[in-house]
Amino acid sequence: MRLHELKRAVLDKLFHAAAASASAALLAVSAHIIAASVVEGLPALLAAGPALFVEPPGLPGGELGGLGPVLAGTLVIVSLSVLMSALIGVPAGILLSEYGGSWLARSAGAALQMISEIPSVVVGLVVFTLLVLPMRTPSALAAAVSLCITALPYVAAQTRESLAAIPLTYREAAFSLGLPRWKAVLMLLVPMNARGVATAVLLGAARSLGETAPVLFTAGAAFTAFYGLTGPSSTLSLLIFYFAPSPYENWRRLAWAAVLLLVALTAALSLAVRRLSRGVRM
Amino acid sequence: MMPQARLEPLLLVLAPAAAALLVAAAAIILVLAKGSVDALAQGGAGFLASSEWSPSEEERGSYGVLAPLAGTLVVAGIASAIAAYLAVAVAVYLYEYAPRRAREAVELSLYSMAALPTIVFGMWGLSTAAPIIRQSGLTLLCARGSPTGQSFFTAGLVVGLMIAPYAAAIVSEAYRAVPFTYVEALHSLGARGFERARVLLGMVKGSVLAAALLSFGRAVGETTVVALTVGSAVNMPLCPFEPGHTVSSLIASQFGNAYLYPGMESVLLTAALVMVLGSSASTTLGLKLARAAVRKAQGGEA
Amino acid sequence: MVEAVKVRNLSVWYGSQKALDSVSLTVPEGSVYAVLGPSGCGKSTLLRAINKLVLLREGARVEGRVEVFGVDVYGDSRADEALARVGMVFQTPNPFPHLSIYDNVAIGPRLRGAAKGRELDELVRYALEKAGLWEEVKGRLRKPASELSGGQQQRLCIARALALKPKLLLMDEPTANLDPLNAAKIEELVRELSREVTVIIVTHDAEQARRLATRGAILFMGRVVAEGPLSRVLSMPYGKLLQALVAAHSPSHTP
Repeated sequence: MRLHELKRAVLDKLFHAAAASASAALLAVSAHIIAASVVEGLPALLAAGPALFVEPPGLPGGELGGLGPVLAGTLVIVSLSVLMSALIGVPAGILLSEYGGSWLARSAGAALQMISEIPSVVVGLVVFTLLVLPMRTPSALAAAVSLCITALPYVAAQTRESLAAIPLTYREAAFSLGLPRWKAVLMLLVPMNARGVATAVLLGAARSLGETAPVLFTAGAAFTAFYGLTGPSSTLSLLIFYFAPSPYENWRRLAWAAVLLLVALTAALSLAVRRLSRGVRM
Repeated sequence: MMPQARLEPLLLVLAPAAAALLVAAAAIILVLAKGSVDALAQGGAGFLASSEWSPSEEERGSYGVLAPLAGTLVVAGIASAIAAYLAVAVAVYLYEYAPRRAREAVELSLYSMAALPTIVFGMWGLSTAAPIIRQSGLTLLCARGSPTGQSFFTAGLVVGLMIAPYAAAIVSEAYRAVPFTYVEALHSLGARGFERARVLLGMVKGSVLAAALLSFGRAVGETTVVALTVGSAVNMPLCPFEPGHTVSSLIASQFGNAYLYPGMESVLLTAALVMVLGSSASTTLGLKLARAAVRKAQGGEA
Repeated sequence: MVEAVKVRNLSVWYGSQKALDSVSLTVPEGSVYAVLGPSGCGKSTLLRAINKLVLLREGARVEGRVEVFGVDVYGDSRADEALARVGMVFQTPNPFPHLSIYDNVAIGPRLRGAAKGRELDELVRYALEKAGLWEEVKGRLRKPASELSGGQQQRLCIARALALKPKLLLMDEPTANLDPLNAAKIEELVRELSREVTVIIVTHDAEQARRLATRGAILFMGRVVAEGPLSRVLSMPYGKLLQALVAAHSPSHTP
């Protein structure tokens, strides 16, 4: 009997070690990713100095240069995408939450479900076929459309959930005032839920910032200059994708600088989302 | 609840948004469908079973996508196995063994991993994971072992690590939902950590399957991480440490100039359609199982 | 008089909330001991403090001394050995729903490595017979436990505990969620078991305590307000109050 107990104790220790090492591995990987971003990216950022925000990347194998046009492109594309996904996604979320039974809501819901399951690269393919080919050029616009579609399910879902979370008493109060339903929803429920809507929009921004695949074929690869809304452009994630495997060291360093910027921006957005969604407990 | 008028003004205001959604969804279906129809019209379905990829700017190219299709299965398989294993291990660690500080640290790292953009994982895969695989000598196990460390396995490993937090959330949620009285019963019988885990996991094994399926679905569609870590070679995945392609990485590398090669675009679109069908089937099934597992854990008694 | 359980100045906190305040009592071996009191008085906490399950709760803190068969379970290195002889039955029957009837009973001995193969089969039969369930399930041992009725499930839980041949059985309101017929069956079971096993039964039903136990304690707001031979305990002012409370709230049982 004592041997058996010993065996149990040993097995328990082994499983404990296996479980702990798996958790430690995940911890180590996440820590290393962030650490590497800082260790590789910060020197590059500092070396580039303020020129980072203005200058284009240096020539292959040459100086560092900067991320000026890329940042401009990212700003334009992500802003446009956030705007479009908010304009479509928030009303869609309201529709799903307040008129959930109607055929309009149900088909919109099905469309959103479908979009959310599609790999984001496919969205890029479709926008390429429908927008880039006819325009004969990749563009910031096409990239924004692509990112917008990818972000829509999240924006709509978040809006719908935050509206659904409004306690019944407030809903009943809003509807009992004798206003037509649409006024009650737009003028009372939605503003009551401003934080939820803001969270949804920020979530859309985080998705847009973080996705690369939708812009692979739609944005172009214009890292050296910004050509406006209808010309080829680029984003931070796209620069990382092309420059990371590059044989040229200055380009790799720029890629790391971009990684650090991206991680910092994403972290800021995530924190904002968390703060907001913790906010009002009604 | 509230009486609903059919033609309420609000519906008219919201309708354009819904319409935009429907248009987007329809556009996706149509483009993929048209591409597939074109590809099939070109030369039948043979390209799905052929691994010969030789693009040609004349009409003579062959675009067999068997290798990338198989590559997708292999990479997604490796990724979901790794993600599911990590998910179970982390859930057991968090609920059976971890002291409070450790639990908070692990939960924090899971949350931050889930928030990181995928391209950052791709960069990490390229700069850290691939060299480690190369230096480990594992690539020597394969006839055409990767010289750079980029391989089916590397891609599967990095994607698996990336998806692990989501898988862990699914298993943890179900594990946590098991009523406390069963935990007490196990303690009263003198069961140790791994013995309790075995019984409790048995109650929520649906969630483990769900985690695997969801991970598989996501891994099928993952593009940027795979493109940077798989090695970009048209190669049948007979050995995991060789470089190769998945459908997504092939699309990433070839679609941009596909218009130069007659017939390539529609082939790639068809492969994309297959990828979409596989990914959404796996994801939908996984989500269903995940919800069922939580319900089962909560209402365990007859 | 040999003591199965000796509790001295036991206090339990959940965070800043004091659940038990300086509880002291003695449970002689081979008897049935009742712990009575209104809801929330700490009866369940007391039971769980004896087999240390109380430590599973968040922020639980224990002060004082609990001895099980002479071993200080919170301090002695032999605590695990002593607690291996203690079994527990819970208020809501909790057989593992995904395991068969056989596997539910066998799980304890399997973990302990106490028996295998034919020996295990006999042990399972023994436990089910002692729990009064054998005749009803002998033909369907491999069926899932979730198929049994509530009363059968509770007897299955008793069998599960008995399979480990405990010397002390802790029962937390075992009949609270059962109909009178099944409750009576289980009370009969307790009477039989008490010949070999010491039983501590938590109950809010003074009549049940009178039927089953020889000694007992009444708890109120985490404190012991009466302790000793049951007839004396129940005749004290708190005892009468408790009986009145019970009589007012439940239909009367006929034993």
